[in-house]
Amino acid sequence: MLSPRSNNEVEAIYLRQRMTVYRVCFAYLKNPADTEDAVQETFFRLIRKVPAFASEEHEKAWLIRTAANVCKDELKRRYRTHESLDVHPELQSEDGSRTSDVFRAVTELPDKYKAVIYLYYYEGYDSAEIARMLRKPKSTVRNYLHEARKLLKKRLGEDFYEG
Amino acid sequence: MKDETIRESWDRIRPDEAADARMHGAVMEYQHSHRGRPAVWKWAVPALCLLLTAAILLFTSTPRVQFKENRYTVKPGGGNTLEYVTGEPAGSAKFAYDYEVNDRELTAQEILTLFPSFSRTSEENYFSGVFKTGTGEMVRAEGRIDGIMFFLAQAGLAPSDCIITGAPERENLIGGVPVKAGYALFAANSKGVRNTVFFAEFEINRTTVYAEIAGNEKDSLQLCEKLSEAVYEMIRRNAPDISAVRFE
Repeated sequence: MLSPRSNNEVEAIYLRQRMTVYRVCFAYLKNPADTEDAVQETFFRLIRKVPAFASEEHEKAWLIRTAANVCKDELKRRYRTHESLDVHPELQSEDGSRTSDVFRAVTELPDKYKAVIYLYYYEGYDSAEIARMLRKPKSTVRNYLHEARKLLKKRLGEDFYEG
Repeated sequence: MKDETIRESWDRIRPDEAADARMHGAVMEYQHSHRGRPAVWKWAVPALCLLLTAAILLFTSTPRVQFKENRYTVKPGGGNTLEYVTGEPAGSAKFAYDYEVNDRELTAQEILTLFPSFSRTSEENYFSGVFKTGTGEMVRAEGRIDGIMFFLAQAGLAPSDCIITGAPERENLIGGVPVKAGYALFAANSKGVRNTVFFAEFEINRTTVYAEIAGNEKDSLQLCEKLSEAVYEMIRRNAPDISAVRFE
């Protein structure tokens, strides 16, 4: 029903949101090649579905939800076909820097926590904002954050603090 | 920031220049090919036929949707009148649970169980549900089918976290079921194009249903009619029933 977006509009959205979409996809898929495919598929869906956005925050929320769904679909497909993911070498090494240890711990969280953790720690949204963005109940988001923090503390020990 | 290290680690995750260029190129190529379809010549004859049919209908029947004094009026299924009045999205509803929940996507069969009037299944149709842990009953669900967004909830729960104010001042009876309906306009984009959203809410089978459809303002009549027909069909078929899907 919506008119297709112009080339300039699509390009502007891509340039504005590509890093966010890339980081969300990487948290799920853990390697650049699959992440690249997932980023493309996320923007292809944007082009096909032509969703209406009331603001840039709304646009970002839609892309994050879509990127998470694209990645979950890919992980389900791999599970069904018994394909394993090629995990990025930096995420596999045990002697990496503290930063990569932390990020590895984040990527090892259960999938359902990843978008929430990204939005909370990287984008700085609070749990009510995340609930609206991801269209999840606030109690679910708070519960995800609580569970994810517990797991991060367990895996990172003293390296993790909530500040 | 709660833990700067997490932020720093995420900062390092970025595509290299070559990957960025590849993704940018692929997205813009897809955009060009998508905008290029359908080829004019391929659709010229069917389009002409449609135009002819539309022209005949225009002169032989009254419009199904009428717009007057900021209200859209439609008679879905040729029955009672459904009236959409202006409203504004504002604030959020209480959207919390007093019990443990989990969620999952619904299967195509489960979507059909909820919406028997939508026989068309496609990759664009999706739905996810929130289930009460332990009992397995579905308490909320949301998704998009055939271009319409649906939010379902057990009676007593808000189906969506978005509250639309000023809209449903009047209730319409469709098949004996009261339906609240409204529409809202978004601000114009840089090219002066405005999008509009039509929404309707009703309760059936102890299920609160909120449905909305969005699109270009110039397509308002079609959007309004499509949503109205969907509402009419659901009520006619006594659907959906949120208790028909459980967490297995």
